[in-house]
Amino acid sequence: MSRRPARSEPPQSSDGTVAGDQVLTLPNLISFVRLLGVPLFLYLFLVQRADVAALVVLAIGGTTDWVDGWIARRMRQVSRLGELLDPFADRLYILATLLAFTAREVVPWQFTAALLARELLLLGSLAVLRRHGYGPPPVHYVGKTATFLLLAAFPILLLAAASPAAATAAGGDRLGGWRGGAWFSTGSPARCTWCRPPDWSARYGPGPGERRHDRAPTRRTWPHRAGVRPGLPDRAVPQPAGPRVRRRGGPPAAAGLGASTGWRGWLARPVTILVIIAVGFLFAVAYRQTVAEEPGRSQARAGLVAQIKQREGETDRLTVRADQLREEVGRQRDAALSGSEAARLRDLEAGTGLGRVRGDGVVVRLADAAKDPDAVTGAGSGPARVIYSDLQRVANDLWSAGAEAIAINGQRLTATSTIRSAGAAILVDFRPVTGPYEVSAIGPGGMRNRFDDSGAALLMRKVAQDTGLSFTVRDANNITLPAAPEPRLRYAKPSAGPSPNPTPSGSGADRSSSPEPSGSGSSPSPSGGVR
Amino acid sequence: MIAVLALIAGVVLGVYLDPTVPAALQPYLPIAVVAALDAVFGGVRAKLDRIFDDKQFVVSFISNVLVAGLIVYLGDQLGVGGQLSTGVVVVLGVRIFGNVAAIRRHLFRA
Repeated sequence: MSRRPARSEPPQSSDGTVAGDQVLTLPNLISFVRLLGVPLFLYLFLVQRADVAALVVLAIGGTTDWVDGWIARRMRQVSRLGELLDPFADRLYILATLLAFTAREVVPWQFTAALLARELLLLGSLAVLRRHGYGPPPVHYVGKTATFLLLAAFPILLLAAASPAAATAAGGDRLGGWRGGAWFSTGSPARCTWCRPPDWSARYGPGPGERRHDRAPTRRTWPHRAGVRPGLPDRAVPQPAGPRVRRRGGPPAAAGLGASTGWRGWLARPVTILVIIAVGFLFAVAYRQTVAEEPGRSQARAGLVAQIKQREGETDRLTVRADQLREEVGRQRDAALSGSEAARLRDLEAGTGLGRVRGDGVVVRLADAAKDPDAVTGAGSGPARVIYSDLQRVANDLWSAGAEAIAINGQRLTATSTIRSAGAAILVDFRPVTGPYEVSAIGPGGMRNRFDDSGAALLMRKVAQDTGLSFTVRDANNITLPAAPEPRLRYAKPSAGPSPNPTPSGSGADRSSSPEPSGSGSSPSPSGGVR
Repeated sequence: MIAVLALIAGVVLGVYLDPTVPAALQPYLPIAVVAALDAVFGGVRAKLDRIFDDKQFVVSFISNVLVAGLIVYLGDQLGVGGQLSTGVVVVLGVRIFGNVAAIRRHLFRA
């Protein structure tokens, strides 16, 4: 509010610069941009209904209110055009906001009418005053408060209108808006009637916004101040931050350097120091808080990790228990069934991966490359790692080399097994396995050689050579592969009753393994169990 | 000088007393800090402009912190607390930048 009186008095502005006739100056450019913000706001608000964007435009328009005038004075580019443009933009902002709100029915039209009537009343009374030789009355703080409330109510009303979820809160906000309106109206007469006593300035120094109190009045004026103009402009900021910005932001108002009388003299200094102490205190507390929260976060993480470990342990225990029970079931079944039937079942189980099997075969070992941190950053891109497709390829080529049973790190592969990656982890049947990975397979004697010639082995050898992965294949005698947990089939149903002759369609859970469960002529499927 | 000493005293107090912030107030702490920063830079700038005013500083600091907190609280009630805090931070950030720019011009004439 300090700027406007200064600006509106051509050609001599307060700091002595002369208003020129330049048009293309930086301040004018800023004024133009601010002017362009008005239609942008209207477009966003009324056409696009992008309330948030509109609010941002409004906020920027409000907070940059002082910028152009300030730059103009600083850069001595005060121009007549700017003096006209700037208050014009301010008024336009207020008017646009008000009209847009009315059009969107954020505020009822009666409200707008009341505000406009108030301004008209003010103008009228001003004319009367002028006729009697008085200048405009000074702004009373009640009027300022009213303006502040009104301008604070605007964004809140907009916000209430913008977020439909806040319908109930909107009622409260509207109330706030009305309260602001009421204040606003009372502020108007306050300007004229509740004037400060004549010796106010002498005692308290000028109030905020009373920058030019030292100017000699040129005509009969209100006792302590001259030249504050009426109407919207002296509170024309369509955004609540505006007035405050101006007070401390712009070349602000409360001068009063010399007279340290009143409460300032003996009270303000300690209070200021207290406030500064409070600021430092606040900083320290905030810092401590942030630092203190960090372990909390890592604690939470550690807790989660511990939970995962615990659950994994539980799962392992349950798995062991399931294995025991399965064996128990097997024993009971053997006892219940006739010998041949039981043997056939056991063979079926072994073939499908649901039974423990023992035999000679190979063990393929894959391991990540040794850690090789970057010498500079210490982090590096990480060592070469075994990825899930490596395991897939190895498993598939083992099947095609004649393997009859395969397990990865003790996880038996069945017809429904999956080898997938989840982030950096490799999941086999949804259970994470960690390196080094051992793929054990039971199969015929020539399996080793066939696998060595397979594509997977060739590829992995090459990769191992290039990246430092380790890849070894060794023969293993008499290895035992555990049983896989029983697959839960939810959609596939055995098509007929259990047929005495195992056929591919009748093998139920097992679509890829051999139709001859005895294992002698098992026909490995290249895609066996690996998806 | 006294102001700097007071600031240091405040920091020391904060470190020494090490108060725990109630959970209900934690969302407001960063906002309050930004508002306080704004007040500090505004004060420095006013000092350089030779228009520093104790009363204004005190009132603006308190009111800024309160208003910022209030806005965030309101946003929380409306369910847009995060966005409103961002808005407050943006607005205060713009002001801080403006004040710092003014201080810079004062100190470096550039």
